[in-house]
Amino acid sequence: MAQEGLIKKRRTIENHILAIGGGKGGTGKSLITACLGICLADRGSEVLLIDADLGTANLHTFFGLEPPQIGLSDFITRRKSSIDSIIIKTGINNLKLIPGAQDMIGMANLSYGQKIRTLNNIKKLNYRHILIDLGPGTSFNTLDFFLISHCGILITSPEPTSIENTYHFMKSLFLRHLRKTITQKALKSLIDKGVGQGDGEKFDSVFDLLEAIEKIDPKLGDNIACHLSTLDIKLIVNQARTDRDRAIGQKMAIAARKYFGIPIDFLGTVSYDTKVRKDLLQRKPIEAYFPHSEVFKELAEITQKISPSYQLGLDFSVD
Amino acid sequence: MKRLTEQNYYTLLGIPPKASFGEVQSAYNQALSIYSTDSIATYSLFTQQERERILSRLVDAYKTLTDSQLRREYDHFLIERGELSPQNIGYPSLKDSNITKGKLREVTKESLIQKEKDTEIENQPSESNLDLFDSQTSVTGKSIKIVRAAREISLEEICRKTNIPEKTLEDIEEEHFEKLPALVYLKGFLKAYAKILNVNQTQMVNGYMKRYLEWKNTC
Repeated sequence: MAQEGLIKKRRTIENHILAIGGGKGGTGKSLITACLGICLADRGSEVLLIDADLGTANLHTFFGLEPPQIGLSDFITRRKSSIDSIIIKTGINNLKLIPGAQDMIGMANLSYGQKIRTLNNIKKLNYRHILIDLGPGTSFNTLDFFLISHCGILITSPEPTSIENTYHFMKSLFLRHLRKTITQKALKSLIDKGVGQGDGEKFDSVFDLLEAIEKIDPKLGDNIACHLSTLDIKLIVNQARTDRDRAIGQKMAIAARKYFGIPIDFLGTVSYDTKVRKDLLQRKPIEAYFPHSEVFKELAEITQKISPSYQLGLDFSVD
Repeated sequence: MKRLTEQNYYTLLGIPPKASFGEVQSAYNQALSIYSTDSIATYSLFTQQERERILSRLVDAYKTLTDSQLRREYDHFLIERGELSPQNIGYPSLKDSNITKGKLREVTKESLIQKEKDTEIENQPSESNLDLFDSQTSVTGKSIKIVRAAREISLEEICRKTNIPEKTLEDIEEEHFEKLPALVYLKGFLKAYAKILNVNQTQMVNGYMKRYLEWKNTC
């Protein structure tokens, strides 16, 4: 036990961590992270963006910044000891950025220790909203960043490949969450068999897996359902061109909610915008055309749907 | 947590037990557009086998919940299983008819007769009943087949009523586009077919033509 005088006073931080991810690259995760950040900052909250798309970090580009010299990888590899020292300004009021830096490793290669230290330090950051851009992929590390957040936002495009990858992400998240919450060894090995088509001993569906778990521990079924219902997953369909594209998000959310038993809310659709693309190619900072573009109007609406959740008390303090 | 195919009909369709026929119809339409074989939103989520089970369960749900007798029996079955409480059953068309507030629980012979009448009226094709296909998207042969199955009409019956050869009807449903007759005939056939199915004729013809032209463009 530490002596009384030495006990550090607990600091209650009311931040709201949002992780932005999705199975596939090129669906506009970084653009949406940047835009959501601008919209939230515009409403007067202190916002921090974290570029955790290690290896191919590019969030800085959206603010017209040169490739930064320092970034998250410097903190991960302990070249920088404090996470505050890698925060940079974006040129927009209330909005700061931790760039990803170029030199690295990639999310999948983070060691366990590096991951825990990074996650814990992010949790302590004193910003109203912290948006983590995770980049593509379903490595354990990516999934864990997703799972520690208060709210995870999946970005998909209306392309069949992207939709398929989004379900793959959900499935991986489901299994990872299960793996993390279950303690019995025998059950863990069941989960490790995986779910999907094809080779070996895989379960055909998540229900087959849950049934197998219930056979071993009948009481666990309800607990699992209860645990899964505490997750907060959102879905955004980006790059929509047609009405058909716009109808996809709601359908995906309904089907996935029923299939995985995870609350998955559809936040909205963002249109494909050739002007955004053009400006990006010219490396114009995105706020240059704010708030006139359709994309920003759509994202401003989405932002409103994100914000009320903490007013309802769903947000919690982290120490 | 239950498999989709083990959820009760109300949960499966995402409607309250008091849902009106109109609400059942539109929930069913939405479910079809979510779970049908060509739904881009979900094709990669389910296996073929899972999807077939879900679709056949949906048709069962639709058949049961749009038939007042079957629905009553089903509600009682759910009550016995403890999945439904007796206060929650009864769709608005029954509950709101002639039963005044003071006599809510008092069921008289007259009110029962009135209920039956109301139910009959509800079973008549309503406006929403006709809008079975989404006006935005194309209509597939499979979705026509599902509607036909839900209506319990055989190809033979349609052939008899419309004089469209049974083989052609089958080709429409199976999307054997190369075997279909010239466009002008096809449109006429689809119109007659839509009429028998009691769905919106324009939506079915235009929707199927969209699908047909998509195929033609790839030729």
